[in-house]
Amino acid sequence: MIIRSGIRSILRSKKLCSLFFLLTALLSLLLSIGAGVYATAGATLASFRDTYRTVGRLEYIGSDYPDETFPDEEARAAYDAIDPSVFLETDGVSAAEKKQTAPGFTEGFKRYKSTIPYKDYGVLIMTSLHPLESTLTAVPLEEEPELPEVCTVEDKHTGALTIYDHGNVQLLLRFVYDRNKDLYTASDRQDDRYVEIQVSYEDLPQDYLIYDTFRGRSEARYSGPVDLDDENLPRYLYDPDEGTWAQQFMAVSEYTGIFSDALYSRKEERRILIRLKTGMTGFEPDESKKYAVHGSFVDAGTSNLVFELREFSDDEDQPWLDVTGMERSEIENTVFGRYARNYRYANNYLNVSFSKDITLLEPFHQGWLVLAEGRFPQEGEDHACVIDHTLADQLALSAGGTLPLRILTSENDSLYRYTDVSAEEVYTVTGITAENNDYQGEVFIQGSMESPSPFFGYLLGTILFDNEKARSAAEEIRPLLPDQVRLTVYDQGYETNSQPVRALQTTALIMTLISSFGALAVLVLFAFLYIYRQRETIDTLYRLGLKKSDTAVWMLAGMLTIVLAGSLTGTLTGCLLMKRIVSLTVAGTASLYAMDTRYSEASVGMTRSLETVTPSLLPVSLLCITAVLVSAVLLSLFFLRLAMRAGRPDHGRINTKVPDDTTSTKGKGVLRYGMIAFERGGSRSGAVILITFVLSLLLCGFSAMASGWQKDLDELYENTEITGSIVSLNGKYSSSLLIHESTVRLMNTSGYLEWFHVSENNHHYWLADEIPVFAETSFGQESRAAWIGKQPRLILTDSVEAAEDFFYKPAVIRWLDGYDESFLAQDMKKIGEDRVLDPETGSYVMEQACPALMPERWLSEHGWQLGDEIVIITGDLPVKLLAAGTFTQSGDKANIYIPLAAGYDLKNLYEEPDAENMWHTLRYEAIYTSGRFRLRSASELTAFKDFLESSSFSQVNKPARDRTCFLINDASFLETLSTLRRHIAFAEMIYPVLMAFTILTGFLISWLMINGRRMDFAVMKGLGTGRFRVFMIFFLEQAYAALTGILPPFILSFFIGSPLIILLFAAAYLCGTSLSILLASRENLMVLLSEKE
Amino acid sequence: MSILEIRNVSYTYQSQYQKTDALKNVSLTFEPGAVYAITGKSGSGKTTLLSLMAGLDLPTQGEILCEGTSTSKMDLQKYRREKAAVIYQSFRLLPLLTVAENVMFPMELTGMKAASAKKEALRLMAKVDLSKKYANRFPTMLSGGEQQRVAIARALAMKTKILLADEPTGNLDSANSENIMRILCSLAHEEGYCVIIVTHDPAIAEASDYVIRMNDGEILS
Repeated sequence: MIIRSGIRSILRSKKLCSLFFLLTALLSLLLSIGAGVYATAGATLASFRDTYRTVGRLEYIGSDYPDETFPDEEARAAYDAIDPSVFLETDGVSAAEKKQTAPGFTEGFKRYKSTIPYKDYGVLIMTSLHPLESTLTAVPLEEEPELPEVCTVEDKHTGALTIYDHGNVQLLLRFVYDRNKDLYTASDRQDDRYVEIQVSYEDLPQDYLIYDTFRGRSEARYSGPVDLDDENLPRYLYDPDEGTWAQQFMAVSEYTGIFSDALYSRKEERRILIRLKTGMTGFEPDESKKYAVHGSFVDAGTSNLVFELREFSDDEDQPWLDVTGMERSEIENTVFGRYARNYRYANNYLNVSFSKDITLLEPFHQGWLVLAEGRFPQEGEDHACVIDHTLADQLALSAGGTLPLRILTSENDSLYRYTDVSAEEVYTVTGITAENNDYQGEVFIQGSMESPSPFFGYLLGTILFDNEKARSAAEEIRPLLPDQVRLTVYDQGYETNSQPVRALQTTALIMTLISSFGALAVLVLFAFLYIYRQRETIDTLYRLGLKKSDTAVWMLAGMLTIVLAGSLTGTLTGCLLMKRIVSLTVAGTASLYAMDTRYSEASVGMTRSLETVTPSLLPVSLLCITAVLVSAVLLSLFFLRLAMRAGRPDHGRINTKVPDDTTSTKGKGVLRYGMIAFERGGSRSGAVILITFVLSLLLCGFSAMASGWQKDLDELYENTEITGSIVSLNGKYSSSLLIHESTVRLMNTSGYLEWFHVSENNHHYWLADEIPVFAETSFGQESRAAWIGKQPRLILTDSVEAAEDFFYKPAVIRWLDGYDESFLAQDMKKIGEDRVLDPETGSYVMEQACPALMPERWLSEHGWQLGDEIVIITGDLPVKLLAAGTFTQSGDKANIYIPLAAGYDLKNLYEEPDAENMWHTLRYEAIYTSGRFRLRSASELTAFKDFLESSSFSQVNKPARDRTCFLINDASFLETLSTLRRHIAFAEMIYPVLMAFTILTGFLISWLMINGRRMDFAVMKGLGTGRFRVFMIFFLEQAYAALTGILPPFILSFFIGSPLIILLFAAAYLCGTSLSILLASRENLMVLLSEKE
Repeated sequence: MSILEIRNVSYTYQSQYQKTDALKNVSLTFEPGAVYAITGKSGSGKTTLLSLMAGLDLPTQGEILCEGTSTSKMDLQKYRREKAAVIYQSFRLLPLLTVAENVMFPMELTGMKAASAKKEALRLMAKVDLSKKYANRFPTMLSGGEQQRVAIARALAMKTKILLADEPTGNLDSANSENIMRILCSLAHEEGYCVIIVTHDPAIAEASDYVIRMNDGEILS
């Protein structure tokens, strides 16, 4: 009966009951959502921590970076200097190891993609060799010969041909056509000096030689009696400067023979007829004998296979051997067998990588390789490995199979020449990767390499970081690294994906706390109204003799029924909506953290996206309901105790507090009575002052922060310089690329860039006395080309910004007086144009020295200094340079920089060619090898990215129609921008909410203050006080209190924050106050003032 | 001429659940210089009648004429301010104002300056036997009788000729009740106020000049 009565009595206050049910339900909903989202965010972050792996790559930035086959001595020194144990002492580092790779070999694997270093090389066994073709060969003579009556003498310098015919001498000058001048140019020796002869086509002599630039040889226009094509015609070659003679012969240079067998060859054909080029080796085979020959197959444009003899690279033996009568095993013990084995190993090598945790190796970490079968080796598992799909396929291996493997030890200078082969060891294949065209012949072994192998390449090692401490750990490690060593951190997107979840977790925590306080406040109010205010009921029950416990049950029953119903409704609704709310909030938060990472360095590296993890919400829900109920019970008991004590006679003592004041006559009208009520309001007025002070102070601080963010954003746009570069599609290379002139022109005319600088590094240079003598055979020429390819580069550039030596460190240059880096951008004659015939040497040399930027070390090694003129050779042309500036080179390559205009038309970089030159410009479009740029304004970054996208340029690992790949260095800008924009968006969202909250606060506080004074309203109205006057008395009372609280923060806002915001706050608060007064004063006078009948 | 006339007045209370005819066709006249007592059981309609005379609402039917003018044609606020003053059983003093300020309040409504109003308030307080020492006290510091005298002083401050008292002695002891009645009678007989008292107390009815009995919203006699 007691419980029933208690419930019934509370349910009869329908409006208040509904209000508190809704409030409790709403706050329980918010509480459960907040707690649920917090739990979800926590579970998701834990899952991220377990799944994401943050790895740092240590790389040496050397001259041939990132070529992993290059033997860079400085990179090797850096590798030796690295000590992984030092990194382990840094907080946040879980593991560190140096790169351990070596080539390996297993029978049965044949490489058919990627690098096959000796693809066409072979050691063949040939028989039945017959001569096929002869070529003109010059044999030096020790002294001047006695010339026969009919012969030819070629001038070694000018190329002119003197024909002797029975005493008649005719000179055929060798002309070269200059298309720019439309003239024919030849040089002739007259009076021991060289003179240049330039004639038009009409003025050419009757007989002359014309140099065919396309075929690279001279053709005769000769109508005289001597047959210049006669093979038996004696021919001589004379060097007038040296005074030396050589006789030219037609020597057999090519044979046909049977390719009967091979110690090594990738060609599978046998017992077929092939052609054999002997070049200058002097090989004159006997048709009846069998020979082992060393060389390579060449493309001679015929349907027959053509094999060219090549010298051994490190052996003085001749590249052929008479093996007639020898057993194969005997042949294999010779140098031919050694080379054959090396080619077999090198052409079918395996990339063997050792690591304590092979999942940290780049291909796995970046997601380029994934397991298709089996598993990764476990910690401590010995002789276990993962192999790639191609290797498994060729060897018909599956997970659990075994791989016999030998490790090859390379020579110091070449990854593909081997000094040793280890004994075969057998490894268990635990896993096989999915098919990937970029990976074949890969073996990943769990553990350490037993015998060290020479270090090649630039990747020094790997560091495994704790996901959350990666950044700080990397910042701590970087100062410890040697020069030129770079640490790049790849986190698979952990930071990007976890940031919004962390923010969500914090927001959920705040929301949970606020909801908790809100729920507590509602329960306090509820308990106050439904229990403390029911003193009369409690008193009546007391007088009726009801036990205290029964009275408690009566009062609690109703309240707890409402609270339980409300919290159950709210919590269950929260559970039902949780998933949807989580996905909406995660998506919403992620969108706030989203950055435009198109073309950005921030997007380099693989990213993983993981789903949020929603744990079971039952414990959270039960906790919420329990917390609310327990709070309700405790508060009810508290207020019940107060109510039971209130009004009880206490031995005649009456404890009534009265204000200490006197009759006031100050002021007039509503201002006076408002002030009286404010001054005598006591704690009521004090509470309003305190609340408004705190709220407006918070708002002042918040507005100060918000205006600070906006200012920071404006400054960020104004002060940030954004640069970028053209890179390879995988993002690793920023030089030796293919950048079309039209692309450069497009960029320079786009209007987005402050500058776009380019360079071209296709030329190598050397000094005249540095180049060795190479044979005039194709092998000899190949060797020459290989030697030239190893020489430093002569780089044409229009700015040091695009200079490779300064990509990774700032330019520190010493200049010759009168020079600075602007000389690189100046227009000038092309090197090829600015040449005159040197009468002393007969060579075409440059009239003026081209200013150049040179390495300091290179200059001092040769005894030169700033201001000296130096002649280098490039493209077989001498080039005169002036040392206009010096710098400290990076790496071991002494690159020299000269102005771009020395080789290219600068105007083509900025202007579209006119119709007249269109065909020529497009046909001979320049290709540059590196490009760097700077945006005109950071505020145009998005527009620039839109422009790149609409022009179909590629991003790193995202090829588009145009393979030119742009990379913008905007990661830190984007992050700062994203943070500021997020804060500003938050502020923009929060202001209306704050204003609404303020109105509500003003309303609630006023309503609470005024609610108990309805009778005062009625009495005043009953005395004939006008409605407006009554309103103003109560409004001014509240306004005095509110404005007193708001005033100090308002003054403060003139120094920090925004006074306008504080004024708006004040206005909003007073709006709420007005509303509550209007509602409170709408009572019926008859009902209020009439004594109850 | 009668100062207050009730002419065929009916009043109905309407709520969601019920409709009550509190007054049914009541007609009365009141003259200045007399004390009228309206008596009857609880629910007889006497308080409703007093409330209508106080200008708290308009009758559902009929009219109330004050000095010949119907209250339906008047601004009720002005009527309450200038024509009829009410004294309540529960005193209805403003708790945040001192005794003097409570008495000053209606005077300041008419535009009187605070200093002048204070002076007049002290005089009125003296009239109801409240000395100056009570001026700065708050209602909660006074006894019931003292509070009622403040209420009478406040009513006098309104300078109306009609004084309406709703159970003025309901919360007082007999000594205070006698005192209050003495003051009210003196106001009527010596100063010409029309004093209308709603009461259950037979002693008050006996002390009045006229007694009006009501039952079920109708005048019995």
